[in-house]
Amino acid sequence: MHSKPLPGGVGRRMGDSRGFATMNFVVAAGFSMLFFVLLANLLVVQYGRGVVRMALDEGARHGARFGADAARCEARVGEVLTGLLGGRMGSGVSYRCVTGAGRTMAGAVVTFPAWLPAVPDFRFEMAAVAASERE
Amino acid sequence: MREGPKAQRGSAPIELVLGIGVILIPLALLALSFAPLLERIVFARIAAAEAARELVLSDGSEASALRLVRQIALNHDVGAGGVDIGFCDGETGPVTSPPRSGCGPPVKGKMVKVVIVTRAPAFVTPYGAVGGITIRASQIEMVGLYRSTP
Repeated sequence: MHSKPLPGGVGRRMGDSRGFATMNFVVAAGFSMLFFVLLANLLVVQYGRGVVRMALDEGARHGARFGADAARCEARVGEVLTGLLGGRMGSGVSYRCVTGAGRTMAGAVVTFPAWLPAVPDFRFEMAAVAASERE
Repeated sequence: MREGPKAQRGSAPIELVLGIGVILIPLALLALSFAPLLERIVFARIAAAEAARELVLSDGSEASALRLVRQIALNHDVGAGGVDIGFCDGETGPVTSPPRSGCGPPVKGKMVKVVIVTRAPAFVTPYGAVGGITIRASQIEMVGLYRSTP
């Protein structure tokens, strides 16, 4: 059934737009969003790396003070992580400190979950060392 | 001359490929190149600070400071061969070899300076780094006025 064209050729313009453009757009937009999510995931992981790095350095420096021990170092690492990396990402960080031989060392094993099912989790290790104050 | 909607026709797959190739991938590479640069800057600052602290806390041994900087480089996944160090305005040299000049004995109240020079990739691609940026960080520390050791 053919409808009467509207004044100004509106009907003809609408008719020319028919096709599978919507399907193409959905596929294109879907892939673009996947790429965007992957990029955002990488940026967040980089932020997390920075936080873990800073927490370990801060903890090692804290534990390197005269009279401080590994427990103080670990407490400081925990404080920094709690402040800057809470939630699911923060729970993927395990850390410990060691003191001795004029050095305080802090190390962490990190697992950040990937946001996309097909992407493996981000796993890495980090360490920091500081010169301990001595008598 | 054709006007209207026909002039706006296009192919979504081609536009997608062009959009990803021309805009998204370069943007992603730029964003991913920024973090290694910041990490390298942080490394240089920490290495300089810790080496200077080691100098004033220990017996003033440059060898001890070099060992500490090598350890920090290892922790930051930086090859020790790409890190130079200089003590007290002396000439810089690689941390893998003995220092060319030192700060001398740690006299109370003396100021010691450590300079760290390293390079960071300017642009990271899937096929490797392109170009490089030289990063320089320094730290000045004072030997304790009331320390019990000489």
